[in-house]
Amino acid sequence: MLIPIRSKYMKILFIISLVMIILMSSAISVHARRLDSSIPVFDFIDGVAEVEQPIIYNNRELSIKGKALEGTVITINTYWYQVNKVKTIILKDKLNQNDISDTGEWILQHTEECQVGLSGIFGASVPIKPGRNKVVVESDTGESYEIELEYIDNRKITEKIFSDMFDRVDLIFE
Amino acid sequence: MKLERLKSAVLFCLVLISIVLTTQIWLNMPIEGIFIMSKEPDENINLLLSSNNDKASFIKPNKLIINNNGSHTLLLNQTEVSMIYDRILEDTRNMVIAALEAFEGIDIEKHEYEYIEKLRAGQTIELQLPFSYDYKLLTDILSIEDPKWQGIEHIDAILVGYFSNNLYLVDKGNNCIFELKSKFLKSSIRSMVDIIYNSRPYSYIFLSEVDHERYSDKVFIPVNITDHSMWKLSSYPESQGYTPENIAAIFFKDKDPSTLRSIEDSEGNIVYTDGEKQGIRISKSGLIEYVNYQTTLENSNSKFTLLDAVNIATNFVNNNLGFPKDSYISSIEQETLNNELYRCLIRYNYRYEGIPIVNYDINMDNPIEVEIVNGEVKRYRRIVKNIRITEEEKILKNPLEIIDILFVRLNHYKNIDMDDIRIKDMYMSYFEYGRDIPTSMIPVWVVEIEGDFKDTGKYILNAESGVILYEPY
Repeated sequence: MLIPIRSKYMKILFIISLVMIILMSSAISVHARRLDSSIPVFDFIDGVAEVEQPIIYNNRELSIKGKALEGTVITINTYWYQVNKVKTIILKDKLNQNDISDTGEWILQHTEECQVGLSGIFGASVPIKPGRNKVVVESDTGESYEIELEYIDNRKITEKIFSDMFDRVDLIFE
Repeated sequence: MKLERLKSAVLFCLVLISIVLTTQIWLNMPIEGIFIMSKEPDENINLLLSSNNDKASFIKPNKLIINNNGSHTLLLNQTEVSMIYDRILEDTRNMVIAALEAFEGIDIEKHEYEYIEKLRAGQTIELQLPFSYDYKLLTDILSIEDPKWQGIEHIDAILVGYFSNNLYLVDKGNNCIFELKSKFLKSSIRSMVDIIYNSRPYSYIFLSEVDHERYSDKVFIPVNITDHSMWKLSSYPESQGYTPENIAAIFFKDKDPSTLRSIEDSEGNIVYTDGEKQGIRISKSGLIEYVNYQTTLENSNSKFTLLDAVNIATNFVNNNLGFPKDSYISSIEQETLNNELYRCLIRYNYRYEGIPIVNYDINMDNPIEVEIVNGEVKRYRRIVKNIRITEEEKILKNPLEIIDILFVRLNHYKNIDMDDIRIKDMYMSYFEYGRDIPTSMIPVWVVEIEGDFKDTGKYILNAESGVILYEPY
């Protein structure tokens, strides 16, 4: 049901809400951007450096790069964790990690395969979705590395706040 | 009714002020940076040649890289993003000027060169300069009269933390990075980066992050460009837009054209001379050469500085045919005698849609050269092309495949040990292919190989097929 803004108190309330949203979204933006992360090099010759997981990440595209012997076939799979119960992005962070694991499943998002040439290097750019993502890089020799990362998309958060608050408001100013 | 309108206007103003103040508080951004002001359109926007360029505008990076928490992209000076590109350069220049002119409120910290890995893993823009700029020359060109920080010798790259607004000056030769911090340093680069990332740019990787022994830290390639294509171009020499008499009139402004002597050789090249001091040669290929006969290396009476040389060269080119769009200083060579500068060679390059041009004559891959001797222009050479887009698209090969093709050539056919090969740089260019007019220009990868063997240097590979079009011999 649409709520028309007709009274002057509603107008003021609307304006104050708008200002608050702008403040909140910029705060979220700042918070999201201050997260540091480093995606490891998938080195099938010397091994992969250990990193703290999940890696906090804030780009829609993830660059995967690595090193392997010439001729090695590398398969890159990305998975996204779909939470069964619908929750907002903000609330999800506050839940216990174990609770989340119990109520969702990993969905395969993207698969890419390449053969390493004389350069000894492979690279790919894969899209990821907001929330928890998993990247599995495996070689045809049976070796496999896996990292988990959490993509925080501040734009989506802002959109979500805006849509939750204003979707049912009919902006009619008199 | 009027009161209601007044209230609405006040409310609108309040919202606008809240947006501006919020952005200032949270993004630490100057007000002018919040709004990307559209500049007045350049009257010469569709012309290849432009004149009256400010010398500071010739300090441009070879590569403008955006590092964003472990992901990287290359920003090319293409028409649709040229405003953003220029704004980033302008903000960076302003930050350098502000930081180096300030007498207080700036903290400086010196790091080892390896610190660049941390900067690349963070949120920075990186301007890789085409050559190692002498610190004094750079500050002189930027009109910084009395730079405070005198411990810096050269600048190879400039980085700006677009979140922190810290400035980093990289002196690769001395293996150090200077970090300059101040609450007064501000820029709107962050909002520019946001706009770029909203357009989903191509992801790039530094190959040195994977194998720093085989790849220098300049080797920066896109991944997943299988769907990317580039237009084939066609070009013709700029000299075709003029008659030889017109070109002669530009160079001999103070002479009566009827007093000039001209000779045409059997190959169709035309030489004009005033019989006393200077001459020009217009080749059929489009190469225009100017020589001042009177300036000699022996006569070393006049003293001049590198800045004088840049001013003289830039003014000379401006007055004689002008600069192509997106020109920049690509190298400066200097020779001294008894610690006095007596000869200087300044080279300029230009780009088409952010991609540099490689001429058919590979030795003129810097298409504008000015030689200054004893404070005067001794020689000036240029081979500039007017470029048109064709309807033919070229699908680009994955650059890792290009590297593989080159390694196969070096390792399998030239028997060079893989451990001896090192890639110094790799970048996309347009290569003039063939001698017909109009000439085709095709997208290529230029790969610079270094190592302890004779076949080092630039290799040019067709970006579509991977065929090696040029190799050192």
